[in-house]
Amino acid sequence: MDAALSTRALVAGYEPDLPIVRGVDLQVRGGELVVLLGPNGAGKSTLVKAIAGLVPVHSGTAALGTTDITVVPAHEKIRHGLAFVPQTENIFATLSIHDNLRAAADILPKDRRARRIADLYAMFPDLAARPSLRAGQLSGGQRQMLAVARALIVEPSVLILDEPSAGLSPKIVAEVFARLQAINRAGVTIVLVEQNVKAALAIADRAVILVEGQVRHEGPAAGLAEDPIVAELYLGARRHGAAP
Amino acid sequence: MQPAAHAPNASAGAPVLEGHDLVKQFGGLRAVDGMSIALGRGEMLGLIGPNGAGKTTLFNLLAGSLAPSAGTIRIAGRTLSHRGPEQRIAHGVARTFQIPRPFAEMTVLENVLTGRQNQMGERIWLNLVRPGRVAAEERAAVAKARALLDFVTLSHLEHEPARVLSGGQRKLLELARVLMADPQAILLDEPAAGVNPTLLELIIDRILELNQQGRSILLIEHNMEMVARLCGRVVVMASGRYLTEGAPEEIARNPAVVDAYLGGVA
Repeated sequence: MDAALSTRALVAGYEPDLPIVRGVDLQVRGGELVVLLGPNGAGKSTLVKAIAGLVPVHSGTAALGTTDITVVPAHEKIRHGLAFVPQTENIFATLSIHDNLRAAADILPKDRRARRIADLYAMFPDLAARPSLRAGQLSGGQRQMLAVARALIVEPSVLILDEPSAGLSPKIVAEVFARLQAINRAGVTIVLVEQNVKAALAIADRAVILVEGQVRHEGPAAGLAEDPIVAELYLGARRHGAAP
Repeated sequence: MQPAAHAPNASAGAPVLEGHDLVKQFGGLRAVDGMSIALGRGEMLGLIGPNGAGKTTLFNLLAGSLAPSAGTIRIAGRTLSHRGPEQRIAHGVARTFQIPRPFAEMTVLENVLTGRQNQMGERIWLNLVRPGRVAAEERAAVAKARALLDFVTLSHLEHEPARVLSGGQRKLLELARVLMADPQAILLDEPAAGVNPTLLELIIDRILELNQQGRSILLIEHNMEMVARLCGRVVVMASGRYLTEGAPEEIARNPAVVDAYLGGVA
């Protein structure tokens, strides 16, 4: 199957002389749920932000299907089918749930907006129950669901999420991840950046582990949590003398 | 299970900085939840843990930037639990920040000079009755700041505004500023974060030299290779609590540590 999202030799970072992402080749097939893992500072968030157009790309390419999106401005990428949910500030806290969805739907033709918002309410009943509630009053998990709903409103082919479990209790993480799995099974390709390794591997098809801005491991998610390679890449266990 | 205290190994000597049963509560969240730690005199101690473990909050408690909700902090045996950072510096404990914020429009040299404590020139009457001594002290301070800029290899930038410095150079500047106060214990919060490999080697070299001078160092760092190079002992925090401690190579193989890093600790 063709890659829904890919990068080739991608180098990116905030400052020209300090690349954080250092030559990443990433292939995400259509319909996959891929989790991007790695220790702090590995470049996971920078990689997805670079794909989303929020961090300068120094060299290399990013593509959605066969379309090169490397230099497409961030706000235009959504029209190509790429939706990105940042870790924080991913909703308008002072607006109501409904206005948050309306703002996201603005990109759609007028005659499709109300229908699409109704679709999203059907998908997220918690949001439908209180459409006039200010988004800032939502719990952490509900906020993430609103952010995901906003991203889905344009029916993206690829959804990228940057640590949606950050700051959430384990029970709420399980709920958020179950919802993401359902969205993926409905046909949306998902790339998930996560620190919550075990929970993310439980829902992912495949994992890519970054260390110091480079891909150090990729493979099926099943069984990876128990694989010594993860401890090695997170804590340098092998380098410091563990048995290979 | 949490031991009552975690004394450093005997070779490290008596603790220069201790936190006992420290708690920091933010509303319903206990960011630090009964943590104890001891930094031996002359020791280089690593503090690691997964994101959200409470490492930086613990640093803030030890450095006096935050007051503990409960627990005790001692510097060289003296209890200073609720004293501010200026009192901690006066007693020989200083810290750096993960993201240094120098005074952008002041020169590099002026930034280092701000780290000096208890200057005679701060008292108006001494400027009037002992102008010579104040001026001599100022000259000595400038000489010391220049020596420290030389130590961190920023001498060539001393007249530049701090805003021109790169992220790594800002970390070096902060180290020089902290050293103006002659601390015996230095708390370093992620000195490797966002630093290019060349500057990182320099930072590691300078940290080693400071430790060889006899200064105690507590290091928060995610770069495990750096921790393994610098620290003889590593304390691991998870969910605001002490998890375990040991030599870096033991820690990297400890299943409880691996579990904490992979999200096994609720």
